[in-house]
Amino acid sequence: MGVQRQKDMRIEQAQQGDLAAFEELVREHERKIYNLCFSTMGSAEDAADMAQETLLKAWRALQRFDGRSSLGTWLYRIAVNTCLDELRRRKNRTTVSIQNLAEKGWEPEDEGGDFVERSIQREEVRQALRELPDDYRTVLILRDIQGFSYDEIADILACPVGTVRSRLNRARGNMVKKLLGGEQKKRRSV
Amino acid sequence: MTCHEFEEKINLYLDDLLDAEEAGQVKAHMEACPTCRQLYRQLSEVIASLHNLEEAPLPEGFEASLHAKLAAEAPKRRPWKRVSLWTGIAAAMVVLISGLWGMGLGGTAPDSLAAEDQNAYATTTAASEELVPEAATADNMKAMGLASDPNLEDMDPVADRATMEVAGAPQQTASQDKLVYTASVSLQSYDFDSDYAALRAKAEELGGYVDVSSVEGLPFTQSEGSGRRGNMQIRVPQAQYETLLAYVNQLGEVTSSEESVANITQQYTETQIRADNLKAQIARLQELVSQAENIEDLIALESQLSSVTSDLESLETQLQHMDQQVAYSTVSVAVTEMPTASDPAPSSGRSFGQRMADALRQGWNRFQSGLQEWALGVVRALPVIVVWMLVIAAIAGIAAGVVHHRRKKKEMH
Repeated sequence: MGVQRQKDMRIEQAQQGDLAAFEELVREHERKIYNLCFSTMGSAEDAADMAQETLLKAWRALQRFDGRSSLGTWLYRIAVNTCLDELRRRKNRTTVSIQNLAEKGWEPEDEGGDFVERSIQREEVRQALRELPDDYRTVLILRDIQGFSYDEIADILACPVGTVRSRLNRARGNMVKKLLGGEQKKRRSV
Repeated sequence: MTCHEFEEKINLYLDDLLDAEEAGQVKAHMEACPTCRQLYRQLSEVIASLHNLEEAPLPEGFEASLHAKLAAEAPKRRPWKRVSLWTGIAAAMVVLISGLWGMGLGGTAPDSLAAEDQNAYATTTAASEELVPEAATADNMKAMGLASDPNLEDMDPVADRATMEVAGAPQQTASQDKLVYTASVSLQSYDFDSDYAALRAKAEELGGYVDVSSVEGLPFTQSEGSGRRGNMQIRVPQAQYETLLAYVNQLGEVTSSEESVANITQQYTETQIRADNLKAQIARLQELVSQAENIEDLIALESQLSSVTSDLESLETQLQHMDQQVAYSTVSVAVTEMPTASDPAPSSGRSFGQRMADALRQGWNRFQSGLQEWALGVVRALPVIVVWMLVIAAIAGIAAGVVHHRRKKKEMH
């Protein structure tokens, strides 16, 4: 309770314009926000931009934070929306293709040798993530990367838990198909 | 459990959201069904791979550049928005009302003297006027060749004797000087009929009467009217003089006021003496007439007698007049009708368009002078305003504290 009260005090101070208080409040969430953005956007540079944009928006809108949800949830909501907005704006841009990945030096065949049969490389996962539809990706990131509960996710995305559940099911199923549906590919490389 | 059901529940199973019974069912189905078992394994792997994604550290300089961006934001508004709004409203009201109150201190009509100033003016005028009759009387005395002190009975012994012998005449002592009170007041009235009638009624109430009354001009309410002007000369018993004067002064806006007291004791006494002398003459003549020896003497005597008698009558008329003047004081009131806000502007042959323009101009002038008056009122009320501002600031501080406290309470839930 004492910690909570302290937090409340910080929030009050931040709302009255205390920048140091605000920075202290968001420090514990910064890394997660950054990673959320990284997973959503797919690049470190975009992740940094989006994360900072998120926190800037939060600073501007702090007056409107009424304490009904936790500060973290509120911040993540802003992060998710900021990233999704940016992605929507870039809709005309081509999605990162396997060809681009190859340019970055990713060669699926290389891992063949000391590869324990169904181990999935990180880059592969990230690529699969990028190919997911935005809504599915968001839920997956929040659940399986960030570790939020169904209820927390429902709070962040401002949607019913049922929606979260169904999206998560689809997203995971999708990922399985992308990453493991091509099991034949792996066998061939052996 | 069917495979379809399994697929529905598997993710919940993976997230530990199933109760013991349903979890048992899922497990049992898995053990029996290879396809579903594989699905379970695949999902587990994918989830694990997602878990294993290394949480990237914040890039270098992230917090520094973030700080720069945050600091560059315009200073945040204080959250006491609502309190500030009400504070502003309260402050504005204080200034407005204080201004009106201050206006009351200074007097409402912009073009008349302040009440205090007017009293001073009237008193000064009356004071200077009072000196005049004294001087006049002194001059009269000098003309008569007598001493200049109006209060002393500085007569020759003959006159003295004559005075004392006159029967029924009022005792001529210093404490019973004959004083004639006269006042002349000009005032402005915003309700001419009512005020003019009130004057008359007051006069009669005090045991007086209206000597002269005349009204000229047309009221403002009439299309060509530029206001009436009434002149009323009121006579009231000397004892009611002050009362009537006080009444007149508060009846309307006094624009001028004169008062005078004439001490006519000297004149009165002299006239009385002359009358007595004439009476003595008449008595002698009458005696001579009775002793007349021939017609010529008789005719001459009668002729002189009639002439002296008429002189006496004239003196007695003067005395009566002077008695009247003393007994009844005179207050002359000139009442000028003033247009009220509802009266139409004097048109005097102007077209409607011109009158519209007049009305507009009039309204604008009134507004301007009203604004000036209000501004003066604010200045007059400055100390009061300062006090009220402090009070409001204190209340605002308390209110903000309450809001602060309430916000804190909400956050704790």
